[in-house]
Amino acid sequence: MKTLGEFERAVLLAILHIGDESYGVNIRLQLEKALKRKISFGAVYTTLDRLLEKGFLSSYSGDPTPERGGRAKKFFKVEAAGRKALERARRTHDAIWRLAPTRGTP
Amino acid sequence: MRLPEEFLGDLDEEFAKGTHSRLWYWKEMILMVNHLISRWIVFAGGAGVIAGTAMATLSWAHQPTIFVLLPYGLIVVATAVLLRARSDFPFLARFTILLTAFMVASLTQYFELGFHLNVVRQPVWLQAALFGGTLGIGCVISVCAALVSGRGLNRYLSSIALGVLGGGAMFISMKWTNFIPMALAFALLAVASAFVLRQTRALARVALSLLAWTVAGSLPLLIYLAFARRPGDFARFWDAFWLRALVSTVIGSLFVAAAGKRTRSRISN
Repeated sequence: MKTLGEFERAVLLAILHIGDESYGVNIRLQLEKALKRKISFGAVYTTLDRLLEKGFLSSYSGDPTPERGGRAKKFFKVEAAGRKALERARRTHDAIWRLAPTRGTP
Repeated sequence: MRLPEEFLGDLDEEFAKGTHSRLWYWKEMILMVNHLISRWIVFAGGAGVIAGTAMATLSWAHQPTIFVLLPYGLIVVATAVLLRARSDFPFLARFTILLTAFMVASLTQYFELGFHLNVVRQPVWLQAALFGGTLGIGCVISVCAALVSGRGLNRYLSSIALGVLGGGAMFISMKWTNFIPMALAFALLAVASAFVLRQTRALARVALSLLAWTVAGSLPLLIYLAFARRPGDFARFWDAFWLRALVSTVIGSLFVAAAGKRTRSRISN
């Protein structure tokens, strides 16, 4: 069973949040907003590559644009396996937090 | 190595907004290169630790043969595969890879011994004991390595240290001579590797690994000199040993430091 690291979870959720316009610049921006820290493109692309290898993401190319030096955007989409992995991670997370003592418990 | 087109496009698009300096642009570029080569740094780190150890071993043993390098090379490859796989490989796969590597390495050692130390002329029970002993050591080490290769990066780095220790232990078990100094040296290298790889400051990594390799390289020399009896022993040993030990010290230190850098990069993700 393929698992998700913390940053991998963040990237998948950022892509789900952005939707159809999920490419490097937007994903990085969304991650910086959510995590409140500077994120490098290198970190984003390394994680995207890993998620593609795991089959959690798929990608497709857009049209080249002048402001990008004539280079095309690469868009990312979360696959069913990625959604399942996120669900699993959430269930694990919730199960662990249920172990924490609530206020008033001895 | 080629930078991905989409990355360059994203970088240009972001830079065109005018909110970043040229310095930021180049920093992003360097970070991307670092990410792209990081897997190879891990491989080089593992290879460097073990190759450096092998070089030092060759110097100490005074029997430079290519067969000695084969088992080390095999374990390096196995460790690199495990490192690359990280948590994607289930426990059984990691265990099997390491076990196979150590068993084949043990076999190679056995044949190397047969060729160069004339063990085949020894009684059968001794040959069987040697063969069984090396296999046993390999298996025990591989089980330990597999056990500590759970989730988490430091576990994997510990398995490198165990790999070095295991290779060394197998080698020592075959060589008979200089057991205590070599065992001490290997143990020191293993502990130092595991410790240094966890450090974050570059200077600390280099200094600690350099110190460890120097002490490890000096141990057999010092003990040899303490028991040297004949005139000229010192000069002979110095000529044959010191330069190669120094080279292996420097190479080992650099590679360990490089692997430590990789650790920090992965943790920061």
